[in-house]
This record gives sequence, structure tokens and C-alpha cells, in this order.
Amino acid sequence: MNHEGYVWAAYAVTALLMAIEPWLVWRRRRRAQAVSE
Amino acid sequence: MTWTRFASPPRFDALAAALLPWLWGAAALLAAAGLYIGFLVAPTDAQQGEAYRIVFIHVPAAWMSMLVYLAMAGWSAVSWAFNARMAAMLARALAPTGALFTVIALWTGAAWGKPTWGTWWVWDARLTSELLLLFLYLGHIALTEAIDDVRRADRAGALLAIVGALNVPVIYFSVRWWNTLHQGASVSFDAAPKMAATMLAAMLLMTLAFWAYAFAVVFLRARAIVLEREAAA
Repeated sequence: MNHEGYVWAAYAVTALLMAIEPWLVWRRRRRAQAVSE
Repeated sequence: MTWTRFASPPRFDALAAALLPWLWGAAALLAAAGLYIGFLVAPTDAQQGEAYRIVFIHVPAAWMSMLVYLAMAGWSAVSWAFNARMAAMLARALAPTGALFTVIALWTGAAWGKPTWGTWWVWDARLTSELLLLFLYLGHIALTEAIDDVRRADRAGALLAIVGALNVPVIYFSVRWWNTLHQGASVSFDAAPKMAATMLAAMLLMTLAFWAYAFAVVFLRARAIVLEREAAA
């Protein structure tokens, strides 16, 4: 009864979300940069 | 140098640009150290087995979800009182990151609840008030995005953020005020920690990693907002 699957699921979703957010923000800034130039 | 020096968007932009590489680096190093101690040094829990290791992201994410909201409400109050542009931009830059930490806290809590409580979700005071926090963040984002006039959007968002801050103490003290399935605080200001030193070290390192991540991503988003507003002006 180690429940390792739940631990993996918790960490995998967290890592995914915390990788996507900076990428989306970086893309938003790049778009804003392109418009302002 | 006065505290208003960085209220100027160009000065803030230069400061954020200089800090960003350090913040990303600190977040990565602290997370690596926290995960190393959390998975390779901290022992398996006698009662919960491996499932307890979710604590190393669940508690930091839950703390951050509340702290980011308080920061958002604080900048909103500054923007409301002084009509400060940069404060309003920072408040808006904080909302999506706060929502993200709230989703992480709820999801990791569900993934921890299933093996230990036997259920993904219960409508107890802690979980329900945390879900309400997510709705406050989403409501703030939706409200500010729905109003075209930037100044009116900032003021409406600020009001919602300030009023919604009442929910934060409700979340924090819910496990004391009501009889909840959720356990009480593992670490609090008025009692010794209720966990082993290695577990506590891993949790605190992950908290610092989340802090550095939050500063980095919010500064990056604030820089994008500064540019967007310059372009629109």
C-alpha cells in the first residue's frame, strides 16, 4: 500500500502546469514586444 | 532612493529584467534540493507509506495560493489609494499565478486524499474555502479582462481583490474553527513543527522554490503587461 501512482500523478501535473505557465507568459511578452516595435 | 522609485514602469522593467535569471536559477536549485531531500533522504511515513510525499508540493502550493492573494489584495489597495499604475499591473500579474497555485493545491490535495481518506473530495471547510479562493482568482481574471477601459478594469479588479481577501483567514483558520476532515496545521507560528526534521527541510526548500518561481513568473507577466499598455497608449 505505497500509493506511488498518486504521488506520481500529483507531481506530474504540478510539473506540467509549472512548465506551461512561464512558456505562456513568455509567449505573451514576445507578442507584446512584436506589437510595440 | 525612495520606495516609489520602482513605481515607474520603465524602472520596474529594468529591475525585473536584471532579477529574472537569478530568480529562475534559484527556483531550479531550491526545487532540486527540496526534491532530493524529499525523495532520497526523508524516510517513508510509518502510517501513510509514500503517499505523504505529496506534502512537499501540496503545503507550499497552498501557502502560496493564500500569500499570492494577499499580495494581490495589497497591491490592489495601493493602486486604489494612490492611483498607482504599476501597483495595478502587479495585482493583475499576480492573479493567474495565484490561480495556478490554487489548482495545484486542490489537485495534489485530491491525489493525497484518495489514498489516505478514501475520497478525492469532501465539502469540508478547508477544501471548500480553498475552492472559493480559486473562484475569486478566476472571477478577478474574468472581470478585469471583460472591461475594455484599463483604468476601470483595474479599479473593479482591485475592489474584488480587496473584498475577497476576507476569505484568506477563513481558509487558514478553517481547521481550527470547524471540525474538518482536513488535518490541522503541520507548521504554525505558535507551536513546534509536527514532522521529522528532514521532511520539514524538504517542505521549506520547496516553499522557497515556489516563492522564487512566483516572483519570476509574475515579474515576467508584469513586463508583458507594461509592454501591452505602452503599445495601447
